[in-house]
Amino acid sequence: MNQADFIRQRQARWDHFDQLLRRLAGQREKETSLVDFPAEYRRLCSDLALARSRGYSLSLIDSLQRRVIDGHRFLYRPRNALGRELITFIARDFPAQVRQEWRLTLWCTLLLFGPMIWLFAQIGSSPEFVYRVLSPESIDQYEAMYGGDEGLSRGAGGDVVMFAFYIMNNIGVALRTFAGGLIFGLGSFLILLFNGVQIGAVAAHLSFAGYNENFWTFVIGHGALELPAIVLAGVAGSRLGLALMFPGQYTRLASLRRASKGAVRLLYGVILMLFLAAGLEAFWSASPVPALGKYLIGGVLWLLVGLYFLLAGRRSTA
Amino acid sequence: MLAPNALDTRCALDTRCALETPDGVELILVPAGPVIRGVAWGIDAAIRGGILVGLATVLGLLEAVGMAILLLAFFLINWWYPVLFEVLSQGSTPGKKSVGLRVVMQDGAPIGWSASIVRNLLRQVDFLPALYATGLVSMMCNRRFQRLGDLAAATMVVYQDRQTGLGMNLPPGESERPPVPLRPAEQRALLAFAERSQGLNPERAAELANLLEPISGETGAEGVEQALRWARALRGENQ
Repeated sequence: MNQADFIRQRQARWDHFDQLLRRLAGQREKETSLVDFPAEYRRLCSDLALARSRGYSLSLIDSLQRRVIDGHRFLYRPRNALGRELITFIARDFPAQVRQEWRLTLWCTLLLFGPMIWLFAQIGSSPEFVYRVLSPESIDQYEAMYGGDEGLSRGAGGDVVMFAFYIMNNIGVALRTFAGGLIFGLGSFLILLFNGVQIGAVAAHLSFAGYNENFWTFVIGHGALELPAIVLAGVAGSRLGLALMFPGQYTRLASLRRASKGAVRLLYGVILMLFLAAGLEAFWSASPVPALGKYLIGGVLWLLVGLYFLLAGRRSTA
Repeated sequence: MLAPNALDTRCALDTRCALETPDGVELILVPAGPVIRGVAWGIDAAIRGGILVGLATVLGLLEAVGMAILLLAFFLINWWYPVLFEVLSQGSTPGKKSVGLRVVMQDGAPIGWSASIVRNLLRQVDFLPALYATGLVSMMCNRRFQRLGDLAAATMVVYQDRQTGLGMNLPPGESERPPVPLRPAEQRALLAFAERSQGLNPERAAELANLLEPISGETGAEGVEQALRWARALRGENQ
Protein backbone atom coordinates (compact mmCIF):
# COMPACT_ATOMS: atom_id res chain seq x y z
CA MET A 1 0.00 0.00 0.00
CA ASN A 2 1.43 3.38 -0.80
CA GLN A 3 1.61 6.23 1.63
CA ALA A 4 -1.23 8.30 0.23
CA ASP A 5 -3.70 5.40 0.52
CA PHE A 6 -2.41 4.62 4.00
CA ILE A 7 -3.12 8.17 5.13
CA ARG A 8 -6.48 8.33 3.36
CA GLN A 9 -7.68 5.16 5.09
CA ARG A 10 -6.67 6.23 8.56
CA GLN A 11 -6.90 10.03 8.67
CA ALA A 12 -10.39 10.01 10.20
CA ARG A 13 -9.28 7.70 12.98
CA TRP A 14 -6.23 9.83 13.73
CA ASP A 15 -8.38 12.95 13.93
CA HIS A 16 -10.69 11.12 16.32
CA PHE A 17 -7.67 10.20 18.43
CA ASP A 18 -6.56 13.83 18.54
CA GLN A 19 -10.01 14.71 19.81
CA LEU A 20 -9.78 12.09 22.54
CA LEU A 21 -6.40 13.50 23.58
CA ARG A 22 -7.80 17.00 23.81
CA ARG A 23 -10.68 15.76 25.95
CA LEU A 24 -8.29 13.84 28.19
CA ALA A 25 -6.18 16.94 28.68
CA GLY A 26 -9.28 18.92 29.59
CA GLN A 27 -10.56 16.20 31.96
CA ARG A 28 -14.02 17.74 31.82
CA GLU A 29 -15.81 14.80 30.24
CA LYS A 30 -17.05 11.80 32.15
CA GLU A 31 -14.72 8.84 31.85
CA THR A 32 -17.35 6.85 29.98
CA SER A 33 -16.92 8.91 26.86
CA LEU A 34 -13.29 7.86 26.76
CA VAL A 35 -13.69 4.08 26.95
CA ASP A 36 -12.33 3.54 23.46
CA PHE A 37 -9.13 5.44 24.19
CA PRO A 38 -6.88 2.43 24.97
CA ALA A 39 -8.05 0.56 21.88
CA GLU A 40 -7.55 3.62 19.68
CA TYR A 41 -4.13 4.14 21.19
CA ARG A 42 -3.03 0.59 20.39
CA ARG A 43 -4.29 0.86 16.84
CA LEU A 44 -2.24 4.01 16.51
CA CYS A 45 0.81 2.13 17.80
CA SER A 46 0.40 -0.47 15.09
CA ASP A 47 -0.01 2.30 12.50
CA LEU A 48 3.28 3.79 13.66
CA ALA A 49 5.04 0.43 13.50
CA LEU A 50 3.65 -0.15 9.99
CA ALA A 51 4.65 3.29 8.79
CA ARG A 52 8.18 2.74 10.05
CA SER A 53 8.64 -0.70 8.59
CA ARG A 54 7.26 0.37 5.23
CA GLY A 55 9.55 3.36 5.11
CA TYR A 56 6.89 6.06 4.82
CA SER A 57 8.07 9.64 5.00
CA LEU A 58 9.46 11.25 8.11
CA SER A 59 6.72 13.82 8.48
CA LEU A 60 4.13 11.06 8.71
CA ILE A 61 6.20 9.04 11.16
CA ASP A 62 6.86 12.11 13.28
CA SER A 63 3.22 13.07 13.43
CA LEU A 64 2.24 9.52 14.42
CA GLN A 65 4.99 9.35 16.99
CA ARG A 66 3.87 12.65 18.50
CA ARG A 67 0.38 11.22 18.92
CA VAL A 68 1.73 8.00 20.45
CA ILE A 69 3.88 9.92 22.95
CA ASP A 70 0.90 12.00 24.03
CA GLY A 71 -1.29 8.93 24.35
CA HIS A 72 1.41 7.05 26.24
CA ARG A 73 1.51 9.90 28.71
CA PHE A 74 -2.17 9.51 29.53
CA LEU A 75 -2.46 5.74 29.39
CA TYR A 76 0.46 5.11 31.72
CA ARG A 77 0.08 8.00 34.11
CA PRO A 78 0.46 7.18 37.82
CA ARG A 79 -2.76 7.05 39.82
CA ASN A 80 -2.85 9.32 42.84
CA ALA A 81 -5.47 7.97 45.23
CA LEU A 82 -4.26 10.22 47.99
CA GLY A 83 -7.09 10.03 50.55
CA ARG A 84 -7.34 6.34 51.33
CA GLU A 85 -3.64 5.74 50.96
CA LEU A 86 -2.99 8.41 53.56
CA ILE A 87 -4.97 6.56 56.22
CA THR A 88 -3.25 3.20 55.73
CA PHE A 89 0.04 5.06 55.56
CA ILE A 90 -0.46 6.67 58.96
CA ALA A 91 -2.06 3.65 60.59
CA ARG A 92 0.28 0.99 59.28
CA ASP A 93 2.98 1.68 56.73
CA PHE A 94 4.83 4.57 58.35
CA PRO A 95 5.45 3.03 61.80
CA ALA A 96 6.17 -0.34 60.19
CA GLN A 97 8.78 1.22 57.98
CA VAL A 98 10.38 2.99 60.93
CA ARG A 99 10.59 -0.34 62.79
CA GLN A 100 12.11 -1.92 59.73
CA GLU A 101 14.85 0.73 59.88
CA TRP A 102 15.32 0.34 63.63
CA ARG A 103 19.12 0.11 63.55
CA LEU A 104 19.52 3.29 61.58
CA THR A 105 16.82 4.97 63.69
CA LEU A 106 18.68 4.06 66.85
CA TRP A 107 21.94 5.39 65.43
CA CYS A 108 20.36 8.68 64.34
CA THR A 109 18.62 9.02 67.72
CA LEU A 110 22.00 8.62 69.35
CA LEU A 111 23.48 11.31 67.11
CA LEU A 112 20.78 13.79 68.10
CA PHE A 113 20.35 12.94 71.78
CA GLY A 114 23.91 11.84 72.59
CA PRO A 115 25.33 15.39 72.45
CA MET A 116 22.41 16.63 74.53
CA ILE A 117 23.13 14.18 77.35
CA TRP A 118 26.85 14.90 77.18
CA LEU A 119 26.27 18.67 77.31
CA PHE A 120 23.92 18.31 80.26
CA ALA A 121 26.68 16.49 82.16
CA GLN A 122 29.34 19.03 81.11
CA ILE A 123 27.34 22.19 81.76
CA GLY A 124 25.94 20.72 84.97
CA SER A 125 29.44 20.35 86.38
CA SER A 126 30.95 23.51 84.87
CA PRO A 127 28.41 26.10 83.66
CA GLU A 128 31.02 28.14 81.73
CA PHE A 129 31.33 25.26 79.27
CA VAL A 130 28.31 26.65 77.40
CA TYR A 131 30.48 29.50 76.07
CA ARG A 132 32.52 26.99 74.12
CA VAL A 133 29.42 26.00 72.20
CA LEU A 134 27.28 29.13 71.95
CA SER A 135 28.26 32.75 71.49
CA PRO A 136 27.48 35.13 74.39
CA GLU A 137 25.06 37.07 72.14
CA SER A 138 22.95 34.05 71.32
CA ILE A 139 22.90 33.04 74.98
CA ASP A 140 21.57 36.49 75.85
CA GLN A 141 18.94 36.06 73.18
CA TYR A 142 17.76 32.72 74.51
CA GLU A 143 17.72 34.07 78.07
CA ALA A 144 15.61 37.00 76.96
CA MET A 145 13.25 34.62 75.11
CA TYR A 146 12.63 32.34 78.07
CA GLY A 147 13.07 34.93 80.82
CA GLY A 148 10.34 37.25 82.07
CA ASP A 149 7.51 36.35 84.41
CA GLU A 150 4.76 36.18 81.82
CA GLY A 151 6.58 33.35 80.03
CA LEU A 152 6.19 33.12 76.30
CA SER A 153 2.57 34.09 75.77
CA ARG A 154 1.83 36.10 72.65
CA GLY A 155 -1.23 37.58 71.03
CA ALA A 156 -3.32 35.48 68.65
CA GLY A 157 -1.73 37.20 65.63
CA GLY A 158 1.67 36.24 66.98
CA ASP A 159 0.59 32.61 67.18
CA VAL A 160 -0.27 32.51 63.50
CA VAL A 161 3.02 34.09 62.52
CA MET A 162 4.94 31.63 64.64
CA PHE A 163 2.98 28.71 63.14
CA ALA A 164 4.07 29.78 59.67
CA PHE A 165 7.59 30.37 60.87
CA TYR A 166 7.87 26.93 62.49
CA ILE A 167 6.57 25.22 59.37
CA MET A 168 9.04 27.03 57.17
CA ASN A 169 11.99 26.61 59.50
CA ASN A 170 11.48 23.08 60.81
CA ILE A 171 10.44 21.43 57.59
CA GLY A 172 13.30 23.25 55.91
CA VAL A 173 15.71 21.72 58.43
CA ALA A 174 14.17 18.29 57.89
CA LEU A 175 14.36 18.52 54.11
CA ARG A 176 17.97 19.66 54.31
CA THR A 177 18.78 16.80 56.65
CA PHE A 178 17.25 14.44 54.11
CA ALA A 179 19.07 15.85 51.07
CA GLY A 180 22.40 15.93 52.90
CA GLY A 181 22.14 12.18 53.32
CA LEU A 182 23.01 11.58 49.69
CA ILE A 183 26.61 12.59 50.49
CA PHE A 184 27.29 9.10 51.86
CA GLY A 185 25.06 9.78 54.85
CA LEU A 186 27.50 12.36 56.17
CA GLY A 187 25.27 15.38 55.59
CA SER A 188 22.42 13.87 57.61
CA PHE A 189 24.71 12.74 60.40
CA LEU A 190 26.42 16.12 60.69
CA ILE A 191 23.16 18.06 60.72
CA LEU A 192 21.81 15.74 63.43
CA LEU A 193 24.98 16.16 65.51
CA PHE A 194 24.96 19.92 65.04
CA ASN A 195 21.34 20.17 66.10
CA GLY A 196 22.00 17.90 69.06
CA VAL A 197 24.85 20.12 70.26
CA GLN A 198 22.88 23.32 69.68
CA ILE A 199 19.69 22.15 71.38
CA GLY A 200 21.60 20.42 74.17
CA ALA A 201 23.66 23.49 74.98
CA VAL A 202 20.62 25.78 75.07
CA ALA A 203 18.55 23.34 77.12
CA ALA A 204 21.31 22.63 79.61
CA HIS A 205 22.24 26.27 80.04
CA LEU A 206 18.67 27.42 80.54
CA SER A 207 17.94 24.58 82.96
CA PHE A 208 20.93 25.31 85.17
CA ALA A 209 20.61 29.09 84.91
CA GLY A 210 17.17 29.11 86.48
CA TYR A 211 14.90 29.34 83.46
CA ASN A 212 13.93 25.73 83.60
CA GLU A 213 10.19 26.06 84.14
CA ASN A 214 9.63 28.50 81.25
CA PHE A 215 11.86 26.45 78.97
CA TRP A 216 10.62 22.96 79.70
CA THR A 217 6.93 23.84 79.76
CA PHE A 218 7.46 25.36 76.33
CA VAL A 219 9.35 22.57 74.62
CA ILE A 220 8.01 19.38 76.16
CA GLY A 221 4.81 19.24 74.10
CA HIS A 222 5.89 19.82 70.54
CA GLY A 223 9.31 18.28 71.17
CA ALA A 224 7.61 14.89 71.26
CA LEU A 225 6.89 15.22 67.56
CA GLU A 226 9.62 17.55 66.41
CA LEU A 227 12.71 15.73 67.64
CA PRO A 228 11.68 12.26 66.39
CA ALA A 229 10.75 13.85 63.06
CA ILE A 230 14.23 15.29 62.63
CA VAL A 231 15.72 11.91 63.58
CA LEU A 232 13.57 10.21 60.93
CA ALA A 233 14.54 12.78 58.31
CA GLY A 234 18.12 11.78 59.10
CA VAL A 235 17.20 8.11 58.75
CA ALA A 236 15.59 8.71 55.35
CA GLY A 237 18.53 10.76 54.10
CA SER A 238 21.30 8.49 55.30
CA ARG A 239 19.44 5.53 53.82
CA LEU A 240 20.22 7.09 50.42
CA GLY A 241 23.89 7.53 51.22
CA LEU A 242 24.19 4.02 52.63
CA ALA A 243 22.47 2.57 49.56
CA LEU A 244 25.16 4.23 47.45
CA MET A 245 28.01 2.96 49.61
CA PHE A 246 26.73 -0.56 50.27
CA PRO A 247 24.65 -1.57 47.26
CA GLY A 248 24.73 -5.30 48.06
CA GLN A 249 23.67 -7.31 45.06
CA TYR A 250 22.39 -4.34 43.09
CA THR A 251 24.27 -1.86 40.99
CA ARG A 252 24.85 1.36 42.87
CA LEU A 253 22.28 3.15 40.75
CA ALA A 254 19.59 0.50 41.19
CA SER A 255 20.29 0.40 44.90
CA LEU A 256 19.94 4.19 45.16
CA ARG A 257 16.63 4.08 43.30
CA ARG A 258 15.27 1.34 45.52
CA ALA A 259 16.29 3.23 48.63
CA SER A 260 14.87 6.53 47.45
CA LYS A 261 11.41 5.01 47.08
CA GLY A 262 11.37 4.01 50.74
CA ALA A 263 13.12 7.18 51.88
CA VAL A 264 10.60 9.49 50.31
CA ARG A 265 7.80 7.60 52.07
CA LEU A 266 9.53 8.19 55.39
CA LEU A 267 9.82 11.81 54.42
CA TYR A 268 6.05 12.08 53.94
CA GLY A 269 5.64 10.93 57.53
CA VAL A 270 8.26 13.40 58.70
CA ILE A 271 6.47 16.28 57.02
CA LEU A 272 3.14 15.28 58.58
CA MET A 273 4.75 15.10 62.02
CA LEU A 274 6.34 18.50 61.58
CA PHE A 275 3.04 20.09 60.57
CA LEU A 276 1.51 18.73 63.78
CA ALA A 277 4.54 19.87 65.76
CA ALA A 278 4.35 23.37 64.31
CA GLY A 279 0.67 23.56 65.26
CA LEU A 280 1.44 22.50 68.82
CA GLU A 281 4.44 24.81 69.09
CA ALA A 282 2.48 27.82 67.93
CA PHE A 283 -0.89 27.35 69.61
CA TRP A 284 -0.22 25.15 72.65
CA SER A 285 3.35 25.48 73.85
CA ALA A 286 3.13 29.18 74.62
CA SER A 287 -0.43 29.12 75.97
CA PRO A 288 -0.93 30.14 79.62
CA VAL A 289 -1.76 26.63 80.86
CA PRO A 290 -0.34 25.83 84.35
CA ALA A 291 3.03 24.10 84.33
CA LEU A 292 1.68 20.85 85.73
CA GLY A 293 -0.83 20.54 82.89
CA LYS A 294 1.86 21.10 80.30
CA TYR A 295 4.16 18.51 81.80
CA LEU A 296 1.29 16.04 81.97
CA ILE A 297 0.13 16.54 78.40
CA GLY A 298 3.73 16.68 77.16
CA GLY A 299 4.54 13.42 78.91
CA VAL A 300 1.46 11.77 77.44
CA LEU A 301 2.49 12.97 73.97
CA TRP A 302 5.97 11.46 74.29
CA LEU A 303 4.39 8.22 75.48
CA LEU A 304 1.93 8.18 72.56
CA VAL A 305 4.62 8.85 69.99
CA GLY A 306 6.75 6.08 71.47
CA LEU A 307 3.83 3.62 71.51
CA TYR A 308 2.84 4.61 67.99
CA PHE A 309 6.21 3.73 66.54
CA LEU A 310 6.53 0.59 68.64
CA LEU A 311 3.07 -0.88 68.22
CA ALA A 312 0.99 0.73 65.45
CA GLY A 313 0.28 -1.40 62.41
CA ARG A 314 1.72 -4.63 63.78
CA ARG A 315 -1.41 -6.62 63.09
CA SER A 316 -1.77 -7.44 59.43
CA THR A 317 -4.91 -5.94 57.96
CA ALA A 318 -4.71 -7.77 54.70
CA MET B 1 15.35 14.46 12.73
CA LEU B 2 18.09 13.53 10.36
CA ALA B 3 18.60 9.81 10.76
CA PRO B 4 16.82 8.15 7.85
CA ASN B 5 15.78 5.22 9.97
CA ALA B 6 14.38 6.10 13.35
CA LEU B 7 15.07 2.62 14.67
CA ASP B 8 18.81 2.88 14.26
CA THR B 9 19.28 5.52 16.91
CA ARG B 10 20.21 3.39 19.86
CA CYS B 11 23.79 3.10 18.73
CA ALA B 12 23.96 6.57 17.18
CA LEU B 13 26.28 9.33 18.27
CA ASP B 14 23.52 11.75 19.18
CA THR B 15 21.70 11.84 22.49
CA ARG B 16 18.30 10.59 21.45
CA CYS B 17 17.11 7.61 23.39
CA ALA B 18 14.61 5.08 22.18
CA LEU B 19 12.34 3.37 24.63
CA GLU B 20 10.00 0.56 23.93
CA THR B 21 6.47 0.92 25.21
CA PRO B 22 4.41 -2.01 26.48
CA ASP B 23 2.49 -1.72 23.21
CA GLY B 24 5.53 -2.75 21.23
CA VAL B 25 6.49 0.47 19.51
CA GLU B 26 9.60 2.51 20.12
CA LEU B 27 9.37 6.13 21.13
CA ILE B 28 12.23 8.54 20.62
CA LEU B 29 12.86 11.02 23.42
CA VAL B 30 15.46 13.76 23.21
CA PRO B 31 17.10 14.52 26.58
CA ALA B 32 17.93 18.16 27.25
CA GLY B 33 21.47 19.22 28.10
CA PRO B 34 22.81 21.48 30.83
CA VAL B 35 22.72 24.79 28.94
CA ILE B 36 19.04 24.84 28.04
CA ARG B 37 18.18 23.52 31.49
CA GLY B 38 20.24 26.31 33.01
CA VAL B 39 18.21 28.81 31.01
CA ALA B 40 14.96 27.24 32.24
CA TRP B 41 16.25 27.35 35.81
CA GLY B 42 17.17 31.02 35.42
CA ILE B 43 13.68 31.88 34.17
CA ASP B 44 12.15 29.98 37.08
CA ALA B 45 14.43 31.73 39.54
CA ALA B 46 13.36 35.10 38.15
CA ILE B 47 9.68 34.13 38.42
CA ARG B 48 10.10 32.90 41.99
CA GLY B 49 12.01 36.00 43.00
CA GLY B 50 9.40 38.21 41.33
CA ILE B 51 6.50 36.52 43.13
CA LEU B 52 8.22 36.85 46.49
CA VAL B 53 9.07 40.52 46.01
CA GLY B 54 5.52 41.19 44.84
CA LEU B 55 3.99 39.35 47.79
CA ALA B 56 6.32 41.05 50.25
CA THR B 57 5.26 44.51 49.10
CA VAL B 58 1.54 43.70 49.15
CA LEU B 59 1.51 41.63 52.34
CA GLY B 60 3.77 44.09 54.11
CA LEU B 61 0.67 46.29 54.40
CA LEU B 62 -1.17 43.66 56.46
CA GLU B 63 0.53 43.10 59.77
CA ALA B 64 0.68 39.76 61.56
CA VAL B 65 -1.50 37.84 59.11
CA GLY B 66 0.44 39.21 56.16
CA MET B 67 3.65 38.12 57.79
CA ALA B 68 2.29 34.62 58.32
CA ILE B 69 1.13 34.31 54.71
CA LEU B 70 4.48 35.60 53.53
CA LEU B 71 6.37 32.99 55.54
CA LEU B 72 4.15 30.22 54.18
CA ALA B 73 4.54 31.56 50.65
CA PHE B 74 8.29 31.62 51.09
CA PHE B 75 8.21 28.02 52.26
CA LEU B 76 6.01 26.95 49.36
CA ILE B 77 8.01 28.74 46.69
CA ASN B 78 11.36 27.77 48.10
CA TRP B 79 10.67 24.04 48.45
CA TRP B 80 7.55 23.13 46.52
CA TYR B 81 7.43 25.33 43.42
CA PRO B 82 9.13 22.80 41.12
CA VAL B 83 7.31 19.81 42.64
CA LEU B 84 3.85 21.32 42.30
CA PHE B 85 4.40 22.46 38.74
CA GLU B 86 6.01 19.23 37.60
CA VAL B 87 3.25 17.04 38.96
CA LEU B 88 0.25 19.24 38.25
CA SER B 89 1.30 20.88 35.01
CA GLN B 90 2.39 17.92 32.88
CA GLY B 91 6.01 17.87 33.88
CA SER B 92 7.07 21.43 33.29
CA THR B 93 7.62 24.46 35.47
CA PRO B 94 6.93 27.78 33.73
CA GLY B 95 10.64 28.13 32.99
CA LYS B 96 10.84 24.69 31.42
CA LYS B 97 7.65 25.25 29.47
CA SER B 98 8.93 28.49 28.02
CA VAL B 99 12.01 26.79 26.57
CA GLY B 100 10.10 23.65 25.59
CA LEU B 101 11.30 21.15 28.19
CA ARG B 102 9.43 18.56 30.20
CA VAL B 103 10.31 16.15 33.01
CA VAL B 104 9.28 12.53 32.44
CA MET B 105 10.05 9.22 34.07
CA GLN B 106 12.78 7.26 32.35
CA ASP B 107 10.13 4.99 30.85
CA GLY B 108 8.35 7.96 29.31
CA ALA B 109 5.48 7.99 31.81
CA PRO B 110 4.46 11.26 33.46
CA ILE B 111 6.24 12.15 36.68
CA GLY B 112 4.47 11.45 39.99
CA TRP B 113 4.73 12.98 43.47
CA SER B 114 7.43 10.73 44.90
CA ALA B 115 9.76 11.03 41.95
CA SER B 116 9.31 14.78 41.75
CA ILE B 117 9.96 15.23 45.47
CA VAL B 118 13.13 13.13 45.29
CA ARG B 119 14.53 14.90 42.25
CA ASN B 120 13.77 18.36 43.61
CA LEU B 121 15.02 17.82 47.15
CA LEU B 122 18.26 16.30 45.91
CA ARG B 123 18.65 19.49 43.86
CA GLN B 124 20.50 20.81 46.90
CA VAL B 125 23.18 18.16 46.58
CA ASP B 126 23.43 18.76 42.85
CA PHE B 127 23.95 22.45 43.56
CA LEU B 128 27.04 21.80 45.68
CA PRO B 129 29.65 23.23 45.92
CA ALA B 130 28.27 26.05 43.77
CA LEU B 131 26.00 26.55 40.78
CA TYR B 132 25.10 22.91 40.15
CA ALA B 133 28.72 21.78 39.76
CA THR B 134 27.91 18.31 41.07
CA GLY B 135 24.86 18.08 38.86
CA LEU B 136 26.90 19.10 35.83
CA VAL B 137 29.49 16.40 36.43
CA SER B 138 26.72 13.87 36.89
CA MET B 139 25.03 14.99 33.64
CA MET B 140 28.28 14.51 31.75
CA CYS B 141 28.59 10.95 33.02
CA ASN B 142 25.46 9.44 31.51
CA ARG B 143 23.66 9.37 28.21
CA ARG B 144 20.49 11.00 29.43
CA PHE B 145 21.94 14.16 31.03
CA GLN B 146 20.65 13.10 34.43
CA ARG B 147 21.81 14.95 37.52
CA LEU B 148 21.96 13.06 40.82
CA GLY B 149 18.36 13.87 41.64
CA ASP B 150 17.25 12.49 38.27
CA LEU B 151 19.29 9.34 38.77
CA ALA B 152 17.75 8.69 42.18
CA ALA B 153 14.22 9.38 40.97
CA ALA B 154 14.65 7.65 37.58
CA THR B 155 13.51 10.78 35.75
CA MET B 156 14.90 12.76 32.85
CA VAL B 157 14.34 16.15 31.26
CA VAL B 158 13.37 15.92 27.60
CA TYR B 159 12.42 18.28 24.82
CA GLN B 160 8.70 18.61 24.41
CA ASP B 161 7.45 17.12 21.19
CA ARG B 162 7.37 20.07 18.90
CA GLN B 163 5.93 20.47 15.46
CA THR B 164 9.00 19.76 13.36
CA GLY B 165 7.99 22.27 10.71
CA LEU B 166 7.80 19.54 8.11
CA GLY B 167 4.66 19.85 6.04
CA MET B 168 2.67 16.68 5.67
CA ASN B 169 1.94 17.69 2.11
CA LEU B 170 4.26 18.39 -0.77
CA PRO B 171 3.36 21.26 -3.08
CA PRO B 172 0.94 19.88 -5.68
CA GLY B 173 2.37 18.89 -9.03
CA GLU B 174 3.08 15.99 -11.33
CA SER B 175 4.52 12.72 -10.16
CA GLU B 176 6.93 10.47 -11.93
CA ARG B 177 8.52 7.12 -11.02
CA PRO B 178 12.28 7.30 -10.33
CA PRO B 179 14.27 6.00 -13.31
CA VAL B 180 16.17 3.46 -11.16
CA PRO B 181 14.86 1.25 -8.36
CA LEU B 182 15.69 2.80 -4.96
CA ARG B 183 16.57 0.91 -1.79
CA PRO B 184 14.36 1.67 1.29
CA ALA B 185 16.98 3.94 2.89
CA GLU B 186 17.33 5.86 -0.37
CA GLN B 187 13.56 6.23 -0.66
CA ARG B 188 13.43 7.60 2.85
CA ALA B 189 16.25 10.06 2.13
CA LEU B 190 14.45 11.27 -0.98
CA LEU B 191 11.15 11.70 0.90
CA ALA B 192 12.90 13.52 3.72
CA PHE B 193 14.57 15.86 1.26
CA ALA B 194 11.31 16.57 -0.53
CA GLU B 195 9.55 17.48 2.70
CA ARG B 196 12.45 19.53 4.01
CA SER B 197 13.01 21.36 0.75
CA GLN B 198 10.07 23.63 1.55
CA GLY B 199 11.81 24.90 4.67
CA LEU B 200 15.24 25.30 3.07
CA ASN B 201 16.22 28.36 1.10
CA PRO B 202 16.19 27.73 -2.66
CA GLU B 203 19.98 27.83 -3.06
CA ARG B 204 20.56 25.20 -0.39
CA ALA B 205 17.77 23.02 -1.79
CA ALA B 206 19.32 23.27 -5.24
CA GLU B 207 22.73 22.43 -3.88
CA LEU B 208 21.37 19.25 -2.30
CA ALA B 209 19.38 18.34 -5.40
CA ASN B 210 22.55 18.68 -7.48
CA LEU B 211 23.80 15.52 -5.78
CA LEU B 212 21.13 13.68 -7.77
CA GLU B 213 22.40 14.98 -11.11
CA PRO B 214 23.85 11.62 -12.22
CA ILE B 215 20.35 10.13 -12.36
CA SER B 216 18.17 13.21 -12.85
CA GLY B 217 20.35 14.98 -15.37
CA GLU B 218 19.12 18.28 -13.98
CA THR B 219 20.69 20.93 -11.75
CA GLY B 220 19.42 23.90 -9.79
CA ALA B 221 15.69 24.57 -9.39
CA GLU B 222 14.89 22.02 -12.09
CA GLY B 223 16.71 19.36 -10.08
CA VAL B 224 14.59 20.18 -7.03
CA GLU B 225 11.43 19.90 -9.12
CA GLN B 226 12.54 16.52 -10.45
CA ALA B 227 13.22 15.24 -6.90
CA LEU B 228 9.75 16.42 -5.84
CA ARG B 229 8.12 14.54 -8.73
CA TRP B 230 9.85 11.34 -7.68
CA ALA B 231 8.87 11.90 -4.06
CA ARG B 232 5.21 12.33 -5.06
CA ALA B 233 5.38 9.02 -6.84
CA LEU B 234 6.91 7.34 -3.79
CA ARG B 235 4.13 8.74 -1.61
CA GLY B 236 1.60 7.46 -4.10
CA GLU B 237 0.12 10.82 -4.99
CA ASN B 238 -1.63 11.63 -8.31
CA GLN B 239 -1.89 8.06 -9.48
